Amino acid sequence: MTKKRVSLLICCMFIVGGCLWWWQKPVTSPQHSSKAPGILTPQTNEIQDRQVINKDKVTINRLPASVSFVNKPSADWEKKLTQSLKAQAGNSLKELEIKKERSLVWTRDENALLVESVVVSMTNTQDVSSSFRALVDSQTGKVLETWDRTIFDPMDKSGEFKFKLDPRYSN
Amino acid sequence: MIVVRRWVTKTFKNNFWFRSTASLTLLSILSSCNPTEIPASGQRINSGYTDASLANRAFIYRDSPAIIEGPNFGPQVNMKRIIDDANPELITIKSQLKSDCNLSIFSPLSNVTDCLQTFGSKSASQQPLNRNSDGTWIFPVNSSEFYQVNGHYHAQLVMNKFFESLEFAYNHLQLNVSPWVVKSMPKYLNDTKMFWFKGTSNPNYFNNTYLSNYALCNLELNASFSPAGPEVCMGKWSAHSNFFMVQDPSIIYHEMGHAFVAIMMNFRNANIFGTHPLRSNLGGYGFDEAGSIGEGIADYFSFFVNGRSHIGEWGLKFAKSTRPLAEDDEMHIPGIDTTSEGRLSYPQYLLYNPNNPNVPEEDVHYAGQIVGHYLVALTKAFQTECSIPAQNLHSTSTSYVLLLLAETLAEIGDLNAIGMDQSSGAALNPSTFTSRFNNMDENASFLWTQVVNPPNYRRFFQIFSKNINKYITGGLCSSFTRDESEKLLDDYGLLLFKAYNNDGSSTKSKNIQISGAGTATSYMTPLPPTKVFENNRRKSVLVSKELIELATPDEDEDVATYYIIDDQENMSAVLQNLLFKGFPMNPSTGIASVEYNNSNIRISPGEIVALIPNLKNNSNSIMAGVQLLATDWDHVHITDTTGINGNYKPCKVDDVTTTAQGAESGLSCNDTLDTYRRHVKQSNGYFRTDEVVAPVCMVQLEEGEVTKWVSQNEFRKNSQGLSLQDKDCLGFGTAAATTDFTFNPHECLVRILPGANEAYFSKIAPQKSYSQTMRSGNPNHIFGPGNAIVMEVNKWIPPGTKFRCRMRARFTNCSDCYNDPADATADDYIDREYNGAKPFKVINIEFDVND
Repeated sequence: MTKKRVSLLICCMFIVGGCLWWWQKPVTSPQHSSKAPGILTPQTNEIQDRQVINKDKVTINRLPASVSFVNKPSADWEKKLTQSLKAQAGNSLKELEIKKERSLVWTRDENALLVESVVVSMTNTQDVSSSFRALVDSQTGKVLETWDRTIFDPMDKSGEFKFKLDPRYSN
Repeated sequence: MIVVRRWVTKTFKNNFWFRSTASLTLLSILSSCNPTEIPASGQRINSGYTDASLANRAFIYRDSPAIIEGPNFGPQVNMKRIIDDANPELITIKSQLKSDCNLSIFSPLSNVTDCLQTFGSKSASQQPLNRNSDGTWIFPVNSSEFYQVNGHYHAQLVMNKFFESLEFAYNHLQLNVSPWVVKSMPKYLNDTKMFWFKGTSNPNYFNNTYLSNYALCNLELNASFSPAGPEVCMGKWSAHSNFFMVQDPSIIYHEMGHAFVAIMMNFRNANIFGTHPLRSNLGGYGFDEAGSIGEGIADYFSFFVNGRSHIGEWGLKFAKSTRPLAEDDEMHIPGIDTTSEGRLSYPQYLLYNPNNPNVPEEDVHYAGQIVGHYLVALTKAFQTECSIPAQNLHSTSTSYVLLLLAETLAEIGDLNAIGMDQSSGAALNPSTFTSRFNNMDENASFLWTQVVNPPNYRRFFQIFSKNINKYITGGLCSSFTRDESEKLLDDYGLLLFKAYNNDGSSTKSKNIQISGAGTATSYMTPLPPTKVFENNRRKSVLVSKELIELATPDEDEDVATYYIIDDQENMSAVLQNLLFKGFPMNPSTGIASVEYNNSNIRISPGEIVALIPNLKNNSNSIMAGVQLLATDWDHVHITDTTGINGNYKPCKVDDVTTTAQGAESGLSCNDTLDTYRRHVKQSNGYFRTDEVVAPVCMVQLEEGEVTKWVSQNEFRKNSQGLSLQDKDCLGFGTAAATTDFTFNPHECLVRILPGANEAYFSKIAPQKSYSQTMRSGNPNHIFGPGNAIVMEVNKWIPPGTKFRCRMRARFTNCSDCYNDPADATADDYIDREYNGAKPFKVINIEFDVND
């Protein structure tokens, strides 16, 4: 191999390396400590059974070293969720059941969150039941998304909830 | 105009199905010495059947009492008069009331064991019914067991027909259509089992892999489908102890139709690389077009089985809420017929209740009639235009429609967002194939399909008719031309798009397009989509978004700009209703509550209020499917380079927020974000400093002589004397010692609640506001919860604080909400553009917070 070729090869490697370095550079501009206050380190047993769904939708059954979680599972998540749902329900529910289906890692706002996937089933004071699925923050018990809600097909459509407009709006 | 409802006195259509059923019933009556006496459980019967011939069988009712006995029959009923006791039907060969799902796609047979299980009512100890000891499923008529057996029979009937048509669709797509044509129904359906409520990833997605079919549910005057069960629930009528919804097979088919929609929408949401954590559904809270499409398709599944273009003749008739599925139904008002002019067209008949035609009614079932009528008309067009053998006319033509529905719903519901597979049919690996061609990307796809760009009549029928061109005109039935397809769509007012959006552009860049199955190519000049023949647009009127605005207050006309609901009774009820419909709001404990609501129809500190914007249509045509979004969007430029506070300037998106008021007109405001990330702290504990989506409500900050609009986070920290901590903000969800990374401090003061972050309005008449539209013909109209945006108001807000909320409006028959009018190709906006202002009219809602 001639000196010229070796130089060319080194030059190419340098360019490729530079490109790779540039490509790997994070987009976020402020350069803060990588161990900033938000990063939590859950115990291995808190995450080992979770299906990790990262932003590339790859399912992996063990924790990748690169993932930084921003929350830490709390044993109270279900209690907090129950309190929150009951606060919204007031006295309208006879029964409320929360059934955990699985634990996941879910990317939201580019943050990796530990979440619980649950089914919430309710029966109201008129004995009507409904249900939905929800992703719940494993730390705060906050509901992050809901789906799979009950579709009702009432015989009488006029029974659906409507607002009573204040009489000061004349109609 | 007074319209006499002729349906009350009409006889149901004397079609083939009715004649067949009636003949069989008559035959059985004549041939039996005691025709109404059906043996009870365990008894032998006297009609000449041997034990062997009755094994696993039962006598069933083939249709509802209203069809068998006539429209004036009931509600008291003895089903002994209704059952066909001449022709016992196979129920199941299993020892319990269960059936398997079998899908013959290629080989081997794909199977989900015991996928359908039928019960009486719901209970903790429920078990499927056991077969009789004599080997039959014959139980005393009118007994719970009898209804379970019949409910199972009809649910299984529609399920088997669904699978037959699905097999046809799958086999056609995989065997007859070129592998280079991008399809939505995945080839790997066989492996994922997503043709039912079952995913094969580990752990399995569903707790139950079977659909629970409750024949005698404790649900008053109602029926329901719950995908989270999954379960179908057929209700009752307490006033008539022997009336049950399960007596009407058309309602069973409708509920099962919801289940099939749920399945088809999620065909693509599992593959070898994993199962998406969420699932797609049609419809949100209150009235919307996605929900209406779901109801229309569910109605079609009744026609799909029984070939009758009417639904609920028994189950709905006593509440006067039955629905026709074709224009030649006698129930319709004069003027509706099968001519081009007489079709049940959008948006004219969006609020049309044929049971009470003089009163406009905003309801998904009635709005869905347009979808149901179109699908039935399309089926009949296939029967006329395509060379289908007479003996297969109904089954083949409905299978064509099911193919179109499956492809369309699979595309709409695709949460994995890649939007294509390899030419071999295998799924693409998302870590190596990084382009996204559908629903933004896998993290934002749920928000896009459900809220930001949900299926409306335009989106649904654009994809549906694209699939007609691909698979019907382009293969199964070339004599049904694109021209005919567009004309039929236009007869229904559904030619709401200028091009088919079939150019396959990426969700992030128009220059990257699908160039063959499994490949993406970058083009300097992207290929254009196929345009519709503009001559075919006669009834489908498009209107510019510039002609929608908030109504000007007018006391004489009784028009307000917006209505505020802030009394405790209403607001408690709406929050309860939101939860019951599946929209929990994470209430902000101690910062806002209905206890602070003071009924002064103003927005006060601490309240939870509903705000009903009253939008006005300034055009001379109807606007329909009006959606007002209060979700976070890309309308700010971040000025804080430290990442500590995330302060921003509002972008100048209109003439309302000016540069003098602190708006930014360049920099990051020049482009829209190509992903979706809210303005919350990142894992490093800091806000981003580049681009984000921000909450809609800004707050006015006065600094000396200068007044500007700023983020709520900036205001709560900088406003004199306020200095609120995170724990005093709305939406903060944890103890002060830890950080809540879902908490958005930029909605510390006013927080739009999840589930109530969009308002929907069925239609607005020309030169009228929404309230005027709805009160015309119905002076007693009251607003539905879907018309409202619900917000929490922080109790610490200083009285007099001014807010400006920049919401975004669009509507279905909009000429410039879906594509840039300056773009001659009429190509649709790509998904990233829905992060910004371009596809919408920005509606500024301003209010002061005062006691």
